[in-house]
Formats: sequence, C-alpha cells, structure tokens
Amino acid sequence: MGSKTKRTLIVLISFIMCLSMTGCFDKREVDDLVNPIAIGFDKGQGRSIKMTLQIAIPTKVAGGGEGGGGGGGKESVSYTTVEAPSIYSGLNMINSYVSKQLNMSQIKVLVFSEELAREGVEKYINALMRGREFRPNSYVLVARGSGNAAERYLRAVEPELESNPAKYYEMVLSAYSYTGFSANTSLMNFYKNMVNEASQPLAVLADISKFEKSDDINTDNSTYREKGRDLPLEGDFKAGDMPKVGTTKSEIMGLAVFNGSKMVGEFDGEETQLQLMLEGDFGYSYVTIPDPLVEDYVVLLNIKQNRNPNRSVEIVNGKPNIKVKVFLEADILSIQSGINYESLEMVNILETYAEDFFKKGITRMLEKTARELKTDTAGFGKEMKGKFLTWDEWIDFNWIEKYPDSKFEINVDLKIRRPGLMLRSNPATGIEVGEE
Amino acid sequence: MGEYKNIRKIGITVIILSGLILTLGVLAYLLVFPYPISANNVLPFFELSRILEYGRFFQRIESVFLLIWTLSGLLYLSCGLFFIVYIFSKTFKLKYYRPLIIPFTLIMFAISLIPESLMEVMYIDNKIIRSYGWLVPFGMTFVLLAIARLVKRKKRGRVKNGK
Repeated sequence: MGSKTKRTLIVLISFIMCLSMTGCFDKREVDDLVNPIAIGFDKGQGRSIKMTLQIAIPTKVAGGGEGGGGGGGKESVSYTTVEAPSIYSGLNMINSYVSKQLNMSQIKVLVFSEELAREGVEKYINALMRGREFRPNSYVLVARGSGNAAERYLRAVEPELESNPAKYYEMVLSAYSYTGFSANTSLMNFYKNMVNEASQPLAVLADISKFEKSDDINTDNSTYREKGRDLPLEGDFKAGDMPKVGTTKSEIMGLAVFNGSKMVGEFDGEETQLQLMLEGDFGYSYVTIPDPLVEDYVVLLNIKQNRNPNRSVEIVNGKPNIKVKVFLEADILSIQSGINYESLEMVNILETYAEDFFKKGITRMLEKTARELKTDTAGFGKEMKGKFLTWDEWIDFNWIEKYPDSKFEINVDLKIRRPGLMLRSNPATGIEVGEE
Repeated sequence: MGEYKNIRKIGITVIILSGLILTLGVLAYLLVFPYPISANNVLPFFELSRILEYGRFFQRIESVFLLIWTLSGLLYLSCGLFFIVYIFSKTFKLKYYRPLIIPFTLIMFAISLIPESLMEVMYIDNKIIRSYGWLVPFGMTFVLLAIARLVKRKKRGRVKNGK
C-alpha cells in the first residue's frame, strides 16, 4: 500500500471514529428533562407509598428573577402526587404523564412523613443510595404530623426571597451553621449512621406554621415546662410550634431521632444545638440564658464553638462512663438587667452560670437519649470502637445494647471574649411615676 | 534518571511512590466510609468524588475526575496490550510485534465478553486473579530458573564427559 493511500485511509478511519465513538446515541438534551427538586414520601394504602414531587419550572424561575422576584416562588414549581409500590415504579408512572423525562439529579430534599418514619425507612434509603441519579448530599427531612405530612409540607413551601426554590432549600438547610437549630442530615450521613453500630441517624424536623394571625400565637406546645423553666427560650420549640406568623409557612427546627431506621423521638431547637456542640459541628448562634442575679431578666450571648469537644468513654462495672468537655466562647449581646457583667469582677459570675446552664442542658439531653430514646445520637460508640483490636470483638461487645446504661460526666468551659460595642451599661434616668 | 543502568533505583522509587499514593487514597476512602459500608461500593473513588462540595459553587466535581480516570484507564489498557504483545513476540523470537496488535485486541475483546455480569467480573478479579495471580510472576520465574539451571548442568556435564 502506497504511503499516500495509507494516509488517506488513516484520515478516513479517524474521521469515522470521531463521528461514531462520541457516544451521542443516548444523549439527553437539558431541555428534554424535567428536574424535581424535592420528593415527599407518605404512607399509602397497604404497602404502597405516596410520592409527591416538587418540580421546578425553569422558564418561570428565570422570568420571576427578571421581574424582581416578588411572589415568584409560588409559580416556579408544580406538584404531582402518585401512589406506587416503590420509588422507581412511582417515577415510571409519573414519566408516563409528564411530557419530559424525569431527571432526579437535582433533588435537594427528601421528606418522609412522621408516620412512615416511625415504621422504618430502611428500604427507601437503600434504594436512594443505590440509585446513580440521587445525590448523597441531599437533605433528609421528617415532616411532623399525621396523615400526608410530607405532601402537606412540600405544597406549603413558598419561598419569598428566592424565585428559585432549590436555592431556598440549600440556604435554609445550611443555616445550621449560624442558628444551630438543624444539622447536616444529608442522605450520606443518614445512611452511614443507620448502618453504623457506633452512632444513630438524625433527620431535620419540618412542619407548617400553626398560626394564621399574630393574635393566635401561643406557647402551648413549647417544651420549656418539661425543662422546669418559667419562660420559653428561643430553642424550646419544634418545627410547627414556633410562635410566628409570616408568608413563609414552612418551619425547620429540631431533629427527628432514629433508632436504626425507625423514628423514636424528637429533639427541640435547644437539644439540636447541644447535639451539634457534642459533635463539634456547632458554628455560632445567639443563645438566651436567664440572668444569674435578677429573676425575669435574660442575658443574650453569641456562642461559638472554636474547638472540638474532648470526649472519652470508659467501661466501669460493665457500664459506659462517658466524659465530655465542651469548649465554648461567647460575646455579650445584651444584658437586660443592666448589671455590669462586662467588668472583670462580674464576668466570672456570668461565665459560671452559663457553663452550668449548658451543662444541665447537655446532661438532660444525653439522659433523654440514653433512658428514653435508647439511641446514641452523639456517636460515643466511635470513641469506644478505637479500643478494640478486631472487628469481631467490637461486634460481640454490642455497644448499642450497652449505651442506655451510660453515666455522663459533662464539663463546659465557656469564656466570654467580647462585650459588643459597650463596656458598661448605664441605667435609664427618669422620675418614677408611682402612687403618690 | 531514565537510563537503563538506573533501572534498579527507578524500580524501587516507582514502587514506593505508587504504594504511598495508593495507601493515601485508600486511607482517605476509609476515613469517609467506615467499615461495613466501604466494602459495599461498586465504584469507591467515584462515590468519594461525588461527595465533594465546596460551598454552593463547586458541586458535582466528579465529572472532571471521571474524565481523567477514563483517560488513565485508556492508557492502562494500551500499556497492558503492549506488554502482552511484546512478551509474546520475545517468547517466540518474532522480529516484529506490530502485526500482533490487532489479533490480540480482538482476542482480548472476545475474552472480556465471556463473564456474564459485573458481579462475575468482580468475583474473578477479587477472588481468583488477586489470590492466585502471584503464581505467574513469582512461581513461574522460579520454575524457569530451576529448569535453566538443570539445562546448564546437563550441558556442562556433556561437555565434561565429552572431553
């Protein structure tokens, strides 16, 4: 074969290869796909589940953005609910009446109803983890209430500040870094903790506001009475019970506690903050504590966790003895009573009182997980796991059965670093108008 | 360093370097996925790269990793084919190895279609090749060495007797 013929042949073959081996046969145009951003799972009849998909409508999202975004949140999504024996059969059914093909890779949020969560979510989590399109970074939520709680919650989500509801979910669920009222309950973390024998999974609690008008607001469902307090602090609520009224009806606060794959209890906002502190995931947040010296007044602190807590587990007489030291830093935001806690003489009183406040809170929360819920949410099993040489020894030890008998020793080290913009508060001057 | 006389140094350096990189990779994987789950993943590093997320902008980076891994997989296949063809040509004292490339490609393609599912391929790779694959480089070389020694002794014996 002459070299000219050879060259022509090579060029021809490479040309054909370039055209035929690009893999364009099974291409899917972005415009031919429909992207749901949230899925809700409710209990259906018998063994079926009801799936609610919240689908983003890209043209409305873009149009809403240009028009200023006012009220754009509601129209930029559409909903569909289907009852099916499993997740993928439901998706198949939806594909038959939605014009475009479903693409699940934009799912940001997976909402399970409380009823379904209490029965057990293992089979759904396994299916979601195995699927290639579902992202391991999507958040797992539990919608409170009976009946079709997940569908109710998803239909009530109307973001006001964003025309893109996917952005709303991303931002509201990553707000735990500055509120502490939820946690990073991604599908990946949920699955890891579900099959891990050293810790148990958690899911964020979600619900719709109960109150329509501000006159109806009450604190009947607050958890402050169980804690022996006279007044509810900001963390003494769970999603749905918050004393608030607004256009945004969805509420995210608290965590659902799971034992294996079944929901067994709930944490309110304060317990969620303490859970984050125990794991070292607490960013910063405003915390209200009662005033140490004056009743009926409160002190506001901006609490930060700059160091991971020191955790250790020892076995004493066959029962785990868990020691935790939590390191916190605080800035003073407000002293309602006007007492000069910023001074070097008085700051220790405030620090000691705040340390005691957190210590009692953490002890109460851990006692609840051990005696009542019997789940190791803070993952103390990880400290225990390191003491075993072989895997079989660790499994025979059976940490999950031993955790409910644990004793807790909690220490909190809190340092007040900054007093805000004021060094001292002066009292208001005026004549007291009283009885003459 | 790329000369033949440095081959020992090059070999040792390459083995240590690649061992270190593989160890660090597996360590990173085990730190993210604890024991029972780490054994269940079909594509471990792909799962690891799926989790990467820096804020709201850097997400879904696994597509970049996949591209690079596909290219390096292609290189690996090409190198493997080259070794097979080269060793074959040296074994049978053939002058040229290039005509062997296309037949061997077809043969390997046909053999690769024999296992019926991905699970069977993984079983062959993990249980059979990794358990008994050492027999060829270590076992066969010793067998060949023993045979060569015997042949040499026989030759020496014949020469001595002949004299």
